[in-house]
Amino acid sequence: MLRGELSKLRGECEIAGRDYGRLNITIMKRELRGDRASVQSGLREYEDAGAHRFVIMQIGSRMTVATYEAELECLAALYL
Amino acid sequence: MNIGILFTVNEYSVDPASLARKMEALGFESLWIPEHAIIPVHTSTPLPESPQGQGQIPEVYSHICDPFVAMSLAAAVTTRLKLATGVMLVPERNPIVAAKEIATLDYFSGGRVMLGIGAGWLKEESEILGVDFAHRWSQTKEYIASMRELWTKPEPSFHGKYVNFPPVRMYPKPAQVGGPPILIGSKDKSALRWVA
Repeated sequence: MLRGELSKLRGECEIAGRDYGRLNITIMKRELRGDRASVQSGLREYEDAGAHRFVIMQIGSRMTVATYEAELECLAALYL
Repeated sequence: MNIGILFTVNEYSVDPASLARKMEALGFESLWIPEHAIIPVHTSTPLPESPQGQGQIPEVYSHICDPFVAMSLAAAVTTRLKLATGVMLVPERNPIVAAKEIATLDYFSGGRVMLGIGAGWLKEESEILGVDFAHRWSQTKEYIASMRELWTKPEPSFHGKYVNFPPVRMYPKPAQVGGPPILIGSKDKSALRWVA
């Protein structure tokens, strides 16, 4: 789906005279599921399709003073 | 691939400074803060993320802190982490005041601001805040154009449908020449054209 949308975007850039190569493509998504290998594979797919950044949406997450360090370490272990 | 985290910082969560400090230490690239100044008690606008657009607005939406205050707190304790809105509801803010806040934050953070922008989806919220909801993307585009004038010119002026001001001076300018990068967030079918 991303490849298709980016192909459309490239077309719109050509029409508008905009340099597509200067755009920064960011994916915002709740979480990629699975272990580190699955998450890394998902990120590679987005990267191969043309994305530059992946933002993990933590809407309504209960990261509190007591839990945030452990939760961030878990996310880092999966995504970084 | 750069990895960021969008988090609904609120009064019950970890504070933005502690969150940002730990994120930077772990190697995350960016912290993204969403925006809802208010959530009206009575709404009929469908929630965009829900499968059939029928879900209730999550309670946390009415607790999200101000993104620019949160980003300032985060900037003060970090040196590399990028600070972003995810997304700023552009037509809900006075563009001149917003341009000043953003420029100030970008200047003092050493050019670490990114602006994810949107026009807003919650009609009742937008209308309370004076948005021309039917034409909110036109309003957004004009607001951004006027902000760019303020960020880039020594004595900018602007004359549009929604924004009008004679030559003024506004400093500091953003550290990033031309202003922070702008990322458009929208599910509208015209979004790709707006990006281009």
